[in-house]
Amino acid sequence: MTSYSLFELNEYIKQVMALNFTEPIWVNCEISQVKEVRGQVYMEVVQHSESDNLIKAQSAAVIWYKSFLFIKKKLGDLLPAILTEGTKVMLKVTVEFHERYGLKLNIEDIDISYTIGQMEMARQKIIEKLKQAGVMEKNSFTTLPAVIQRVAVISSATAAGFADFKAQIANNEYGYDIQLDLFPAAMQGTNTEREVCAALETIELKHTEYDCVAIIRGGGSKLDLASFDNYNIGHKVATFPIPVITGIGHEIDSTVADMVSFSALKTPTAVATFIIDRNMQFESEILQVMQVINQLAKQKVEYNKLALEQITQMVALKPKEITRSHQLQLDQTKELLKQAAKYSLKELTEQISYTEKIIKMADPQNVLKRGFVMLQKGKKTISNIKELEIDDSIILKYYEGSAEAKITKISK
Amino acid sequence: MAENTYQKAYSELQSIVAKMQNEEIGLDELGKEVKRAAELIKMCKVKLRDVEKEIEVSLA
Repeated sequence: MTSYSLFELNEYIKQVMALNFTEPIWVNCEISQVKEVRGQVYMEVVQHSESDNLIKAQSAAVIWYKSFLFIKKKLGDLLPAILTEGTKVMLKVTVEFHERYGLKLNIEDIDISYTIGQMEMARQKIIEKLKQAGVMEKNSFTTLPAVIQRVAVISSATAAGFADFKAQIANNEYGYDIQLDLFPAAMQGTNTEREVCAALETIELKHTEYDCVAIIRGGGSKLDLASFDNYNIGHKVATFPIPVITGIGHEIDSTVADMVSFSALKTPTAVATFIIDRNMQFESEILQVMQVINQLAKQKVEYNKLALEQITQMVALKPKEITRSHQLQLDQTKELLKQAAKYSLKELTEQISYTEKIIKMADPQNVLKRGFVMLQKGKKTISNIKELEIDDSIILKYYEGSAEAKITKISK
Repeated sequence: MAENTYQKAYSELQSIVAKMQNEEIGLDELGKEVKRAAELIKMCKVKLRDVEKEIEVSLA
């Protein structure tokens, strides 16, 4: 039986490999672990099974110092996002087998467009899933108060975007006092999903204490934003009980979190402006209402003043009218009385003069004047024949004198 | 002052004026009613001035 030493075997494998992989080849895979040590990047790349998501292939890969410099220069800002656990990458590798360290893929180049394409596909899938769950529009149907005073902020305490946001809110020109409570979370990288979801859950427990949530992040590359193209974050934001406003710091692209949020703004500054403007809008409405109230109140007072003036005039004039009419009545009555008195006086006068006439006519002197004679026996006036006897001495009284006579004969 | 003092006072004033207009008022009561009306007018004026001031202060 022929046997080989392990080194001989591995040396043989190395030769076979070298013979079969003379040229670099492009491999697509997913980064499952990554670590940078002194300018060299060590990672584990894997492929998951489509059916059960179990790892069905895994290899160690490394970017040597020289390649790393080249890749760094080529990808610039995008590099940190690419070299993140979970990123799908297209790698240009040489396959190398080392007698002691085994199989290793030496990365020479990375095709960024593949990663972007993968991300976009993943993003579309997430959007589709959220649509199927029927939650896409949900957060936009929550109610944002007319005045925003208490904001739960999800951001990284050290993020530049958060500092800008905080300063802008604090120094708003209208002096609005807006409470900002920070719920820290990683805003990029692999922890983003977990930490943002955890922050949302913490806020959800006391969501009645807040008017809205603001997810704030400074600028970053398109790939950095990929953390927000996440189903769990998307679902959480979409179904959040109070409005979620995003300011994740990008000009053109819209992440899944943006799409399901109540309001998606481009930058943290835009979120601050949005909040302040909303409050200002409310205040100006209040001021307008106040003006209208002021005007109406003044009008009402004016109207009442006028009415009171009119009534005052009435009160001033009417009694005079009334007393005047009473005076008039009194004068009329007086006049009537006067006339009535005059009339009755005349009547009485006439009556009296008539009576006087009658009385005058009855006076004996007047009777004598008309030629009648009055008989007297002594002092007694005789008006009955029975009072006379023969030989009685009587006096015949005339108007102008008297004569004595004797009764000589009586006939009855 | 009670909530509707002005309204009450003003209504009373109106009824006094109405009585005067309809000449339901006797001469004996006239003096008394005029005096009452003057009181009510003064009250209304004070209230109006107060309200005006309040508006100025509240909505300044």
